[in-house]
Amino acid sequence: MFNPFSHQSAGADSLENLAEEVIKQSGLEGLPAGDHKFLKDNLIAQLERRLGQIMAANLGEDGLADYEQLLAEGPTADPAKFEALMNKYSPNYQAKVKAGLDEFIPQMVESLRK
Amino acid sequence: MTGIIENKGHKLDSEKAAELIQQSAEVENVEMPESLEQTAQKKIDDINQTALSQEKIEDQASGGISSPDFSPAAEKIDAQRVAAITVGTENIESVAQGNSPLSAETAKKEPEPKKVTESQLKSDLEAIKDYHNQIKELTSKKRGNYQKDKIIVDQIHTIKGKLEAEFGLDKYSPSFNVMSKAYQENINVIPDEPESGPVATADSLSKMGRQDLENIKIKEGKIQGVEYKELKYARENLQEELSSLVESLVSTKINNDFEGRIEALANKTGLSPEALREICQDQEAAIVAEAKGELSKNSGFWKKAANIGITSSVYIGAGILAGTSIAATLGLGGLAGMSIIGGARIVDRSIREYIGKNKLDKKVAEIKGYKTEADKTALQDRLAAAISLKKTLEIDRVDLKDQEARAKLIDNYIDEQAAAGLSPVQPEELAGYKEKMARILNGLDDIDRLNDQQEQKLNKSGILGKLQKVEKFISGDSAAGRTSTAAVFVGLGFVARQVPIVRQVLAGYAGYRFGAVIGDSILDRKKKGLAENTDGAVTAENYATLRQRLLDQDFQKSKPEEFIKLRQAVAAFEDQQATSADGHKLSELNEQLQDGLLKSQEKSAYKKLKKFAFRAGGAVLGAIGGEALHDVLSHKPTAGGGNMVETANAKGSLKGVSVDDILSRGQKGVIETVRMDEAVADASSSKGSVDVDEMLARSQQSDYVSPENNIPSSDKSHLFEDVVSNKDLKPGQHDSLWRSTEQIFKNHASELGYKGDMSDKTALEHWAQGQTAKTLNNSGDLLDKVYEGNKIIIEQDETGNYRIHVEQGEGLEPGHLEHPVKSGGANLDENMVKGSSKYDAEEIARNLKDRAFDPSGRNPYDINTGLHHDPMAVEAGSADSGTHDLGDELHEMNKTLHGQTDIKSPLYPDPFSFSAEQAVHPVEHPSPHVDHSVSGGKGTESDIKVDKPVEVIPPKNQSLVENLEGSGGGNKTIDSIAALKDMPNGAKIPVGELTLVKQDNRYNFTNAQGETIKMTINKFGGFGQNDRFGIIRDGRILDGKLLSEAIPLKQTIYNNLPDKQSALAKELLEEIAKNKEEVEFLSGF
Repeated sequence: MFNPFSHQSAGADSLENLAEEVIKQSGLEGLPAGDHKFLKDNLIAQLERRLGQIMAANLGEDGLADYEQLLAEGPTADPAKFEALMNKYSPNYQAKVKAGLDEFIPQMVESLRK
Repeated sequence: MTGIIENKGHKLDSEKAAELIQQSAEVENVEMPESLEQTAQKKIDDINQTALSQEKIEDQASGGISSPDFSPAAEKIDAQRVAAITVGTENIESVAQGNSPLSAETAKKEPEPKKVTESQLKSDLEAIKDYHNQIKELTSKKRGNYQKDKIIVDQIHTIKGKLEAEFGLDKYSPSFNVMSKAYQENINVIPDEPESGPVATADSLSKMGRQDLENIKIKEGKIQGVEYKELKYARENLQEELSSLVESLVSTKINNDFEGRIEALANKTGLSPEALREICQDQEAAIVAEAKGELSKNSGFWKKAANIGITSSVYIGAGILAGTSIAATLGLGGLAGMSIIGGARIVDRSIREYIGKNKLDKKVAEIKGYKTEADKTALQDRLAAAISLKKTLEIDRVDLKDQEARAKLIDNYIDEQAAAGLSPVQPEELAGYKEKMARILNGLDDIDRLNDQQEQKLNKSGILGKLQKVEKFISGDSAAGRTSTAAVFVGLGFVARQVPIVRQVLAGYAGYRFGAVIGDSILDRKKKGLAENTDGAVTAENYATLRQRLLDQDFQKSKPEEFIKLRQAVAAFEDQQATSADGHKLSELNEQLQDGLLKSQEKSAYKKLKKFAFRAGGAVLGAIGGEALHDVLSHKPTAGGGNMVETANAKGSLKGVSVDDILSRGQKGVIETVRMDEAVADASSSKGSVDVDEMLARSQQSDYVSPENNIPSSDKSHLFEDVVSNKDLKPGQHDSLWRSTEQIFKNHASELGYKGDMSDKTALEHWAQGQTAKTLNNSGDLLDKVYEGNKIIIEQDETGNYRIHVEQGEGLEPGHLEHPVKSGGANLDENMVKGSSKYDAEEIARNLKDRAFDPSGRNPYDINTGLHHDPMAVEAGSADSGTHDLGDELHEMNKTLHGQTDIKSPLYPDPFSFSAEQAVHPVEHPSPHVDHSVSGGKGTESDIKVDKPVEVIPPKNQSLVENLEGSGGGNKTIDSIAALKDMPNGAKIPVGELTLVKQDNRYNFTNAQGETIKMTINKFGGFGQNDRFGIIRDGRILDGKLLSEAIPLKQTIYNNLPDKQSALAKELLEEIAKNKEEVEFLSGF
């Protein structure tokens, strides 16, 4: 069975770094630790959520069906298999992820700057 | 008897009184059977009584008629006056108004006006009012008996004494307004000083506000069981139910009455059964977490789990209970929290699977088994606390969309915390803290809404329907609605973020891309800001903004001149920062730099290298390193120049800031704050220097124009290049002008304006071919006979159209094909070509056909070359070929060029086809200067392998070479890039153990074994961009992944430079260090 913990620290770090960048760019540095963590956790969740939306939008019907199949194999899809799936159904998903996040990140920052 | 009576402060001599009484008696015909003294005393009593009655009336009148002065210093009233008062010839008011001599005297003794703050005034008036009321109360208690009232009178006098002593009020008025006015006339009221402590009055105010807000919410939300929001109340009144729940929680079997207890709790507290079950689940989860912790303690599992943040997100409910965040405690931003819960459940399930359900269940049972009574009590308290919190949140969440109300709630809560000494920030930071928290919560809601909207869009397209199983799987049976919907996508994102490519994208946002997208956003939305944010200098404050601006690809393309100037100015600032005392931030990166090369260098070199550390690391890592990263992510060459031609190369007029100058100034600490205009002064074109404001303003005026829409440049601009090479082609295939051009369009499709789907290769190819045809057509008198090693450079003219030109590069001199037209093989009637009345499509078509085939059959002519030379003819021919849409026709032609399809038309009965390899002159003679086997190594000369010795071309300017060689200081002469450039082509000089030969603006360093390092000099070099010194192998500059192989070659050159202090040596050394950083940086991707 896929062990998520042997694969994901880098991804998590990147997402955390990204959340930190959002915080920084929003001028929300220097919060008390509890508030900082609250904000970061929420931002990570929303980034993860948007990432999922981008992926879902590009998988197509067959891709989504395959994704469900992947989940039938374990609690989370094996990233390697998921990557193969993305390559199959959305070979240029890297650009799409970038485009999607390029749109979302400024929105996040703007929301927090208001 | 001689007595002194007192009435309202007026002392009366009894003898004089007797006289007055007698006189009075005469008037009133009063019988006086008693002695005068007795009578007088009695009369005095009567007077007193009268006076008291009068006072009472006045008091009741509340400000009507003033009473006599009650001042303790009041003068003794003589009998006459008493009598006058008694008979009404002098009224009391006149006395009260100070018409007495003593009153005037008192006025002279008025204290100097004192300064009283507004707050103090308010406090003083309250005190005066308090004294005033006391006097009124005492007065009302008088019974008209002197003896009996004496105590009261004394008390009144005491209070009056206080009024005078404390407030300078030496006169009493039954009207408080009069008193208040009198007091204020004698003081100077000044504004309050700033509050020394923000929480001085915040406590009471915030409580009032909070209570008001709560009451409104309770009413509007129709919330029941409000009293359970008080923990004490909940604990005391829910004991029975909670105790039962605890028993279930610590048991391996659920209590049969569990649901009944939940129901009872719901009825009592007004919470929903789901909310109550969730509370229990949280506690159950805490036990499970404990079990997981136990099981993972020795496996490092938990540490791994912590790495992905699950410890923070799995039990967000617990996080709320912990109350570490005001937002979490208030239950605000909770919608975002819900999606965390959704995502966390996935992870939670992963953990369960990882550990193994049976093993985990066993551990949970074990833990439950040893729960003590104290544990159970604590658990019961936690349940009560959770219920209390839920009720609080239930109230607070009413109308949370009302940002003003929410801000007030936050303010109140923070004030309360501060008043209780629980604030996480210092008093002086409270205002900023409140503002930030309000922004956070409103912002998170906005972000949540954005994702909601996105999901709604996706839902419309039916995606959620496809993911129902996933939704159920993720959310389980308990979650529903938004939570589970969000959870589906969080789950998908959770998986996606582990995919390496996605990780790369995410990592990219750590720096450049983040800054770029934010910068774009700012510019796109506000069309201003950068210029406003800078005063013309690069400073710590505007550095990030300018850096973002600099990193903007569109800016780079559309305003290359400004881009370069800005980059130099920013770089100079970075240099200054790196060499300043504030370089401590670089310590970590500097340690990494202290390997191999650096250890061998003197301190000065090390200091200079810090600049590159600064650029590559610390706070700037993202910003600058990101440029390289962006290129990695875009599959573009990163360092070493690559095929991204410096945009300013074609300018020629730009003169870069001297690196030596910057270095020397930086070393001396001269550059303190680099003025933009100073920094760019040397770099300015003939237009003169441009300061940052102007530069930015200009850059913003035109906005960004996509390549498709052309660049508003007044000059052509080099964009990309490709080197003609047969490498990696199939046998029989040859590179060509067409192929190289098309390759450029394919490789840089997005940069060159392709808006389509990059994954659609057919569409991309179609586009690239169309662009190639158009570009070749637009390229004027093209050198269409190319050889391996020639460079095909795409550029953009003043109208924005792309065109190419061919440079010799490493190959043979390019030339012109012998076209039939030129050789007379086919002649087009110019009139026809130009669409005159003599237009004859058939003839044009025939001529085109003739052009298409070389008479010899060996050198077929390219239709696209025909397009280039005779576009009108092609257009006319296409119109008569049955395809009236030139675009389609071109496409057909392009496809034909690749041998994919044939043109079939009435005019071309015989299908013809020819491939791209045949379309232009094939490479017949590989360049003798292309070496194919230089391999990387560890930095020693022995690692350099060259299969061909360099062909030294006899210098064209022999005298100069002789001069260089014969100067006795030839090596010293070559001490800078300028000196290298000044070398004439063909010149040869010794450089250490190497021989340098300049050939076609390439610098070939050859050792005694005939091994050659080929080097180019590029105009600019920066981290993640290109190199000043490019090492060439196989006609390609070693960059990107090959950059590591360039380092030892550069070091070999450096080692042979005789003067290590020369500008050339310094610059080369710095670049080596930069390359090392780049290689290290890039190795992570």
